[in-house]
Amino acid sequence: MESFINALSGFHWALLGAAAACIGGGIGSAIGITYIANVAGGIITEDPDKFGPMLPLVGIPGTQGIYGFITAVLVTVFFGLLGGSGPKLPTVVGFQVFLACMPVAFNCCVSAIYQGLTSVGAAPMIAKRTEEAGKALILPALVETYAVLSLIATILLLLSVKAGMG
Amino acid sequence: MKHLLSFRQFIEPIKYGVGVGRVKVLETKLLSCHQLERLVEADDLEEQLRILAETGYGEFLEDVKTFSEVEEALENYLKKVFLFLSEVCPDEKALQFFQLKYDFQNIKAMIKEKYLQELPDDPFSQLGFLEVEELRNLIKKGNYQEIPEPYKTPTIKAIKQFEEKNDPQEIDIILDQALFEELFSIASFLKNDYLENIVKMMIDLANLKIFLRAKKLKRGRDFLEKAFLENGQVKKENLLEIFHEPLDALISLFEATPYRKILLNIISYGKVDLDFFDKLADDFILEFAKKAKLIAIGIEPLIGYVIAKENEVNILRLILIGRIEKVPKDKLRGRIRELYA
Amino acid sequence: MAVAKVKKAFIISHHSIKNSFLKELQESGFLQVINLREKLEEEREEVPLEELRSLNLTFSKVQFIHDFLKNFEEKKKGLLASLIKEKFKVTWDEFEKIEEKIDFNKIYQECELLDFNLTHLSNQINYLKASRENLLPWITLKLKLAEIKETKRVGIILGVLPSASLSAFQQELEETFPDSSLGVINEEPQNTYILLFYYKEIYNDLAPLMAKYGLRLVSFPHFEQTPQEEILKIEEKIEKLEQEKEKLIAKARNLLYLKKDIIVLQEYINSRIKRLEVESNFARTKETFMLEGWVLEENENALRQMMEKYSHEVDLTLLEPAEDEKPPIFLKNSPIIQPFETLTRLFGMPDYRELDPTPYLAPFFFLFFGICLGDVGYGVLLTMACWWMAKKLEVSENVKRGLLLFAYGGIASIIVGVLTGSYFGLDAKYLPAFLKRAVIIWPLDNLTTFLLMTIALGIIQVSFGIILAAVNNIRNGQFSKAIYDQVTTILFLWAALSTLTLALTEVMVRVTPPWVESIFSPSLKALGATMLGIVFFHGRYFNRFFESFGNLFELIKKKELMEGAKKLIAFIVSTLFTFSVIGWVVTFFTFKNIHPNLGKLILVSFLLAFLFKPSRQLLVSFFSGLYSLYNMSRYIGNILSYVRLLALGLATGLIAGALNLLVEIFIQQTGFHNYIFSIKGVVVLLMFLVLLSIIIFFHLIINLGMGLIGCFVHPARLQFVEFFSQFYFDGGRKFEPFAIQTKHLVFKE
Repeated sequence: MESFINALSGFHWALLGAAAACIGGGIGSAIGITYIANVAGGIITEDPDKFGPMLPLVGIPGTQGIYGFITAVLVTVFFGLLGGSGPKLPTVVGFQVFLACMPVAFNCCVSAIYQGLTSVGAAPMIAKRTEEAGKALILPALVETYAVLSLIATILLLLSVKAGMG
Repeated sequence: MKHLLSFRQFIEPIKYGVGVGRVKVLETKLLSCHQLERLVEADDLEEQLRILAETGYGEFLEDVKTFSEVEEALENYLKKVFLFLSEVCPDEKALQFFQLKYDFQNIKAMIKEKYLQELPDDPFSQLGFLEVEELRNLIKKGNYQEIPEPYKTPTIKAIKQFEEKNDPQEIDIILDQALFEELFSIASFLKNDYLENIVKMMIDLANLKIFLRAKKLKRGRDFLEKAFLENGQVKKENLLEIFHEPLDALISLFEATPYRKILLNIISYGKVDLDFFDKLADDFILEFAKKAKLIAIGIEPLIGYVIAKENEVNILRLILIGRIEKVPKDKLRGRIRELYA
Repeated sequence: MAVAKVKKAFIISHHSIKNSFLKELQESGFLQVINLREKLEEEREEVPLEELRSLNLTFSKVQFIHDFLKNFEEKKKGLLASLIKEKFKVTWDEFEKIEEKIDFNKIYQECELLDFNLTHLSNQINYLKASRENLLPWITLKLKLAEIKETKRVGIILGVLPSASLSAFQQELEETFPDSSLGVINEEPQNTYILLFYYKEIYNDLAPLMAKYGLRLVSFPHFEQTPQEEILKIEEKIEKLEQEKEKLIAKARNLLYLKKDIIVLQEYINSRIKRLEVESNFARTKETFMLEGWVLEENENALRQMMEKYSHEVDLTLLEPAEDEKPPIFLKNSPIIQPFETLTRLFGMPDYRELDPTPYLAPFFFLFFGICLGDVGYGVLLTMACWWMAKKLEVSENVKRGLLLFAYGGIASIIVGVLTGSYFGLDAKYLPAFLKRAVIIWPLDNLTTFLLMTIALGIIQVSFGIILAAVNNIRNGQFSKAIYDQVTTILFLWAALSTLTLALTEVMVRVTPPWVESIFSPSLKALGATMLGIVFFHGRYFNRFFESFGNLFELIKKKELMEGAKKLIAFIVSTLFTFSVIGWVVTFFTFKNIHPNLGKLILVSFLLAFLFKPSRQLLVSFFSGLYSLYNMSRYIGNILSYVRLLALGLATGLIAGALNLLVEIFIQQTGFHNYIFSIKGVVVLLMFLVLLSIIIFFHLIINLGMGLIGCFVHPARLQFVEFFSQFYFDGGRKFEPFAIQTKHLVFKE
């Protein structure tokens, strides 16, 4: 384990964590939005008036990408990666930062994909009755809970790593 | 539920997303019971066409007057539906699934035309995969080798059998069997339970019809052995076994199956009334096809939509032609099939 | 402020005044007509079919004109236009007299003619274009097409060959028929266009060769000149036709001024169709027709007044809705909280006898939205934009409510933004001191405090929801239910939470303050007591207990001793069980040693009660209480769910901050403010402006736009899932009066 951690410097571990969070969220959001955008495209082809009501539904799986991005920003801000104090980061702390980023990296990726699938299921509601658009929006939003929780977990973990640094 | 974790669900939204999206909107535009009621109530064709003018049928049915014009217009409409399917469904086989029956119907009529000099009752359907005139020429000239598969082998076989036994029924039997075999192979090629179930139901219902007709016409067992179709949910052997037993045995064989309801409708007091069989069979398959509406994504909604459209066109044909031929309104209503909506 | 009271109206009227009466009724919009046809098997009022048919025909014609004209409209560009439909203003008088105003049949004929001609022209143009496409590859052919005719001995062929097989074809042709000659007219990657001369006697041998290489024969029977000339001719024709088409389009555009009238006409015809169709809901006798409907209590007098005019012909009776009836719902709230009705409508209308949740969710949603967006800059933008759209655009009531809801959200966001020091996510060092002084919490520096605040909000709203459930029960006269279910729950919840908090403080804080120690034990005792409360009250244990006690007396009175004895034993066994459980809990929570035999007693009495059939009933209610105690765990999830406010609140601020950081880095790295007046400085300044506009774009579109979805959906979800699940069941239907409903019109006085 020791040698595994020492394979990278602290700075690199921290970068890897931030990047992983951003990549995971981004991949998930991209796939999720692709799913629902496809169906929305079909619906709008037949009924252009549905563009407005469909738009929020298409946007919903996009938040996970933002959470990943936030994580990356938090890592850079908390550990001064931008200010040039990055290379001075101890290896162990860097590794801790990496671990702290994992909830977002995995959870946001998976939840965004499944949120896309759920949105696909909710889209026909809008196709059939526009006035139900709000209800169609709530169902996929239930999936998002777990992305939000993982972001909170990551933030708390990052805070505790920072507190541990003194 | 079994494909909750399968890879398929991650591909389907990409593969069928646009198509399903379009279908979900188009489903809302299917004719409603209310509209059909108005169509049945309408006094003449002109009024019916006015009602239909607001729907997607309007442009096709402009200025039609006669029986054959209605047929042609509706066929063109269905052609457009097929075109839609080929546009939105990346599986080519899905379209073939619907086209096959028209092709085989045409081939049957053409062979009969050639050998029996029978003029076909209806004009050849343009909805098939094969070009009608081309196919007709090939069959006329005997160039069977140039017919593409999967039509070639059964055609040659049917003609050979017919020439040997000189029984026109052979043609129907062989081509029907080829049709259902092909449908089944498409369903299993697409690895889709929904489609497979539909084909199985079609086979079961076809077998049931063969059974009841044979019973009525007092046919022999060998005939049935030849005529029954494979791949049904109810095994061919089981049907053969009970052929010589009274009709109650049939009902008890189907006791646990969903077809029981149809049988009870058809058989009353030991007598078989086949008039309504086709309507009931269509309703039955449509009832199952409706399940596609509950499926969020996949090929099912597309297939279900085309089935619904075929059904809708059938109903319309009944209503429009019924009005041209002045069929009483109540009688018309009885013949109308259920709706997908 | 809640669900409006409605009354049921029965109207019996004479046929003679039907038309004017119905017209007035429709204009007033007081009544929601109930379908009597379903209720009564009486003869129903026949809808005048002829009239309906002709109206429907007119309607579809007007529809046609509308659709036709729509093709020539200037397309409105932009997202806004596609989201929000504009409406036309019209006076009542214009609406009523629209049929006289425009000669609709003339317009229809004009449009139909135009449409026909236009389609005809388009078809012609398409045909010409297609033949031009066919000719285009042959453009280098210098022969006149009419001259390509075979002579007595020589045949001539124009053909298309797949380019891949050209050389092979050429070679084989050369070898087998050296006398024939092949000219390549045009070679494209896919196809090659060729001209082939041959002696006629070899044609039969040539044909298989052509088939082998896939040569397709082409002929142009309708053309005479060389392809180039023909193409020029076709292009001239196309241009001419296009000009004609333009003229027709201009003509159609000239008709566009009629658009408003056409829409008014459409709506007018539609309202007349509705008036005829409503008759299918009526019951009739020979002389009269009868209708039934709901009317709002506030409109009662107005309705009576309206009827006075017809006092000879119309009889009106008004009744309170019966117990088993489900009247339609009309939400009535003060204009300030009306925008929040959007949420209630989204979830579903309340039942007639239920509370309208709108006023109760309003402050929470307001606050939550504010926390999620949490930025002064965005808040100002959002408020202004939504306010402007709601006031300026002619939109439907529903859309207006939605816009105002977002405007409120913007205001909340300004308040929260001031309190947390967030202005477009600017770094704190740029803020002036007076703004810094207004800040009560810096979220990024006090994340834990922020987290605890959100949890506290959760506790408050969930408790409030339970209280509302109690209020609902009391309103409906179920006082005991409120005590049994809600009061016990809320006491338990608070006891559990305080115990949990104290326990956590003891674990986390190194030196526990003595007061924590001192209240921990009472809090624990309260927890034990409330747990017992949940178990016994939720399962309705005591109700059953006293019931069976009563039964016992009855049996003894009736001298059915055998049964009575059974009951008595059951009673004793279950009492034993109950008290041993209570004893166990009490000793456990007071931290005294649990008597070792108590556990055995519980087990034995449980077994006895289980084996002895008559006492099982009490056991069941005990266990259902236990189950509902277990169910209390869902409150943990409910309350923790509010933590999402923290995540969303941080998200907007952090992304804005990251965007600003880019600008900051740019300034730092280039340092251009030092040499701003040199040429280099100007170039860098331009670059900076580009960057700035990109950043502003991201601020607005990505962060605010995407953020808004989350800022609406998540607080809404907290209302629906966490708050409503405590007390609210929808199930009402909207009040939809028989009225003139227009999609595209707004009436002005």
